Amino acid sequence: MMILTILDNVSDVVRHGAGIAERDPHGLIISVVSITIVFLSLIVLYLAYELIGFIVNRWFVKKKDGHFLVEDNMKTSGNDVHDMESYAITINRKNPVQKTVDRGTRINTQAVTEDDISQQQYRTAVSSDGKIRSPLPGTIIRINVKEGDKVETGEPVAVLEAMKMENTIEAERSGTVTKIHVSQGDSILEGGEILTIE
Amino acid sequence: MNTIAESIRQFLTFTGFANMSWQHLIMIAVGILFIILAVKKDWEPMLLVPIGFGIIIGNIPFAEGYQIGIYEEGSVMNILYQGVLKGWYPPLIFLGIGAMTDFSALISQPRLMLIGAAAQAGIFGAYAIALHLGFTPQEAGAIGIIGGADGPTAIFLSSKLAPHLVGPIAVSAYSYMALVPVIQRPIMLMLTTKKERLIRMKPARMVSRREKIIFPIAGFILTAFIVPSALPLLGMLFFGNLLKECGVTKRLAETARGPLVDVVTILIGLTVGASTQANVFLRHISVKIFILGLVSFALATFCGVLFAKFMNLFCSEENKINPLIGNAGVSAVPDSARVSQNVGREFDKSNHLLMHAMAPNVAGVIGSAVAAGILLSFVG
Repeated sequence: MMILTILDNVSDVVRHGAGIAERDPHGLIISVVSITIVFLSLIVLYLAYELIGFIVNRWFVKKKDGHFLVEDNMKTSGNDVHDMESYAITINRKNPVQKTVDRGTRINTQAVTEDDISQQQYRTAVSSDGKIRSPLPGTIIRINVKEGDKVETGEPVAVLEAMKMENTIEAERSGTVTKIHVSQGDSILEGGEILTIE
Repeated sequence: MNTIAESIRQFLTFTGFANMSWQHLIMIAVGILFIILAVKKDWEPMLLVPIGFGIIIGNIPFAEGYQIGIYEEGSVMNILYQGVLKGWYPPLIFLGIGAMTDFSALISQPRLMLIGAAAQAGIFGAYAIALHLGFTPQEAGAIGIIGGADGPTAIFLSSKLAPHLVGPIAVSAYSYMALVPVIQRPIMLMLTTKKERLIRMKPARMVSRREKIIFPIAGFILTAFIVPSALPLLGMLFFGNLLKECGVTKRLAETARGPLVDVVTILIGLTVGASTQANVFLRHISVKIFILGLVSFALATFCGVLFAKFMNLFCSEENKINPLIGNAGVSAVPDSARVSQNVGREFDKSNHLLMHAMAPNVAGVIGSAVAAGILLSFVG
């Protein structure tokens, strides 16, 4: 019965637009109908995006098994990264040869399809080697150490700004800072190297 | 001698001191408090400083009739206030938000959009409560939208539905946006267990440039067809995003997210602040609006977090959602996503929820614009 009333009201609104409020003194019908429409629109968007993502990745992205490459322009596109940009690691499909990517990291790849290449794998590929990597895409606003400095585990080494928020980057191990890969003001992607501790 | 005394007396009647009332003093103190909060606590300084100083401007007592006050037609402040009153500042802000926000978190995990929809329940909850308190449906709709935690949308909708309430609604929407961390954190902690707070979410997949370009176009067409009344907001939001993502309009995108949005933010903050002129603002109705806004906002956070937990019932172990991103369903971008990140890191220093929280957060922006559109067609 309730559903019928609601449906009746929906069609009424579609036909006549306003005027429904007077017949709904408690706001119940309007609330239920409205929240349903909000859900409906976002579900439509959700489904559309699953579909578009599927189509784009299925037909417009040529899959190649084998090596993948984090594009050389990562650094240049890295410079475009600003406040709200998220990671943007693109795959060079035209020239899918294994190659040293910027910041000097060799990504060790086995036979993988591009579907498999996720952030997770990117992170695993460049796994723990004394390098401190950015947990988020953002801008380096402060570096607290110099090359040659000794640091302890948990010591704050740099400050990263992401989404207008300052995040302290801490040393994951004790040791000596051998190389700092970024300078103040640099944009950095998720997983980008900040410094190396040995 | 007499003339001099007379002219001095007359001058004195024009001064602020002669026209002052205790209400003005209270409002000036509130303005100063806003500025102190912004400077000392760093709470949303971009909003609180303009609003705070605006409040002081709006509450300097003056003799009426000389086109000074914001409510006197033709005064400078009144002309600037038209953008709020006629609702054309908000779409411009949305253009900037579109041009600065990266939607890839949303594109890669579209299921998180539903959290952004759930949080809009706060709007309609407050709508029903406001009706019970005796507000008209139009006023109730304008008050409910505060729960979207979206200043521009709140101004847009209230300027259409209840222009006489724009001042209190805008001030409370912006105040609650600045208070996002204070209001949301306890609700998030109350609704989640320790175990849930430690959930690590699967990293998002990569999003190709092609998808990023299709998103604003397809997203706009779909949502606008469903709710054409939200056209100004949705149109500007997605247009801004297209400027950013299409890659060939870099200059336009930079202007939209930089200078343009800054200019409009200054104007909107200042005039909203100035619209709190004590004799118009200090009424019982404003207090009610503030309380209802808080209820609406808390309810939105509540629904967002609960819905994230609800979705977890259907997710496989590896796809579990950390309910701490549920609060980000309200559309204060990126403030509420930052709250998710901060609260998440309190419990696990290496768990970064920021990018995950951006998905419901931008869905919240779309959701509250849609909700505004629906309210507009229902009660407008």
